[in-house]
Amino acid sequence: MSLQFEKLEAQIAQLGVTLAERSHSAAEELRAAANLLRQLDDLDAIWEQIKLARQNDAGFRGAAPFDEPINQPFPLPEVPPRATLFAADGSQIYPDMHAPAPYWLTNIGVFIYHHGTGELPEMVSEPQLYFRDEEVRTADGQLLPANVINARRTVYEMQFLAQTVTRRQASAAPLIALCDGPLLHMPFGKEIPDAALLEADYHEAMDFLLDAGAALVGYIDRPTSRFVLYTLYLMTLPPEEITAANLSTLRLEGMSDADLYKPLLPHGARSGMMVQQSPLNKDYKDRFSPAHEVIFFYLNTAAYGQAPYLARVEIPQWVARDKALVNAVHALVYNQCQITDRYPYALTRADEIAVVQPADKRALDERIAIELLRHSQPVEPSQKLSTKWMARYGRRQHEGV
Amino acid sequence: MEMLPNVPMIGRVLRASTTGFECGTRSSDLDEPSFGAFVQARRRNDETAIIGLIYAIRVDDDPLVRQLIMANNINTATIRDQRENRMVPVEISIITVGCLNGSTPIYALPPRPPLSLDPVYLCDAEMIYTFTQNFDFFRLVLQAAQVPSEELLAAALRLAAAARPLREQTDFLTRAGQRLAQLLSGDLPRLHHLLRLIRPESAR
Repeated sequence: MSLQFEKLEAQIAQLGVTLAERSHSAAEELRAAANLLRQLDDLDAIWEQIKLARQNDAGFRGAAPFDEPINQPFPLPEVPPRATLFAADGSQIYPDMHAPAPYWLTNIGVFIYHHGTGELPEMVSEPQLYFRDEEVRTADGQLLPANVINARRTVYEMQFLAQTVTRRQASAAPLIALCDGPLLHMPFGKEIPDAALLEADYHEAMDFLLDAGAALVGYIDRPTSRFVLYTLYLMTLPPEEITAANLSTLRLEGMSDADLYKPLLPHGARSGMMVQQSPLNKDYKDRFSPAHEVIFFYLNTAAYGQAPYLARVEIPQWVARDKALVNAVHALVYNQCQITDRYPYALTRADEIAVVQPADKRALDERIAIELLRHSQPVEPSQKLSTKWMARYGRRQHEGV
Repeated sequence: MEMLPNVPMIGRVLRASTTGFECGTRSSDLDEPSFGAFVQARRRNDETAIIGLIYAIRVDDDPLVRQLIMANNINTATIRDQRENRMVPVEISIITVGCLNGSTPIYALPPRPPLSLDPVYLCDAEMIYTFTQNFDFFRLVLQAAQVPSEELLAAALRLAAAARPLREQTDFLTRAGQRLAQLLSGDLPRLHHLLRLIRPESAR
């Protein structure tokens, strides 16, 4: 039975009213924040306030200026005549107790785009099947949870990207290594059994990219981050009130940095570069290398005449220190966003190469079942799954010639 | 591209019935097939070639292609990526007009259709010449409701004429016109249109 919409109508109407009220109040607050941002010219004053927050152990998670004003737009630079973009993405099949055998799979795709030539783009992918008991089960015999597989896939993406760039480092410079998603979101919590090893592998892959002279870029579409809003709030506090208790009271419902920067950034322009203040980023810098510290800027990817559409672009410090490379990243990412509609073409294609469709999973399950039968192993398909599959996909239309 | 001796494969069967079939191919392989072309499909281990005429070629879209059409910045690399890497599917619709058993034409529907994934090839000049010695396949085309029959028959006859030596071409088209006059004597506007479409260059 499909969803009974008549029972939802009143709830949908209430949702509309609530969001409209929130949006009205957020607009007021945003105007005030934008005024404050316009006055924020003194980078030293911002840093002084952040230092106070650190001294007071206030748990500040906002943004600090890197080496540029944060309240001015940086216009679109000239796009380099030649460049090579490597865009990586990954997908996975999680272990499934209804499958013919316990396994999980990652598929990493890299799309290589030769900017400035008519050369045919290249596609490489790396599917990997994990099926041994020690690969599929936790110490207590349970199937590996999704967050463990996500953490591993993140590392494999970075490793395969680094490997692909290194093998082609003679390609036309600059080399841009593009990931879908933030660089600074390592899902290596305590629940990940081999977190330290994975983290080390991730940073080693970053080093390979650094050695290859590539610009690593994390691209976040429609960011909801509020780093600058937190900084603005911090700037309104007198020194004695910069405490963890005060900073944690900030509520920014319905607001984001993107809303703040939309009126400030014309099409193609970026914000100044900023450093996210977080223990994880500090860890990147202190434990691995200052070159690995993650810097970011906002970029308006809309074309002329379109409403502003912002992305957050993350780069490691080794890229941020090289202004020519920053300009190349800025121009090339924007250029990619004009091929498709406000999202990099290369990342769209990397996703297409990497994604494992439900039909692929069904085909893989069938092949595994056949292989098991070839080796006289019992294959007992899950009745639950078979029945669901019949109900969901069993109906089809007949098409004539 | 997979080939029989001297003839290119244009695709593989997607769907089929005794009256026609559709084959799929990649957009990058779309140089050869044309509207009205004679094609052959062969079932495995079957000597008989099923002969058909291409009456429609469709290039499918997808959401990414639709988005690229609206783009500000489409360039050669992107177009090549779409056509050569993404393998945008092309569907070719074919009406069955008979069979060729060795060099013997059979102007009737085949006993069985080709099967999914059977290869579909263009017919070479010799096959076209042999098959069009007789015009009994006209009825199958003229009676088919789903095809633009006059345009299809005219395109096929022009290709069949081109498969003959120059000295035979006018005579071939004249005989075809005479046969059409018999078949369409009760539908003069249709006949008139068809005769105009196949009129030899020398008679214009």
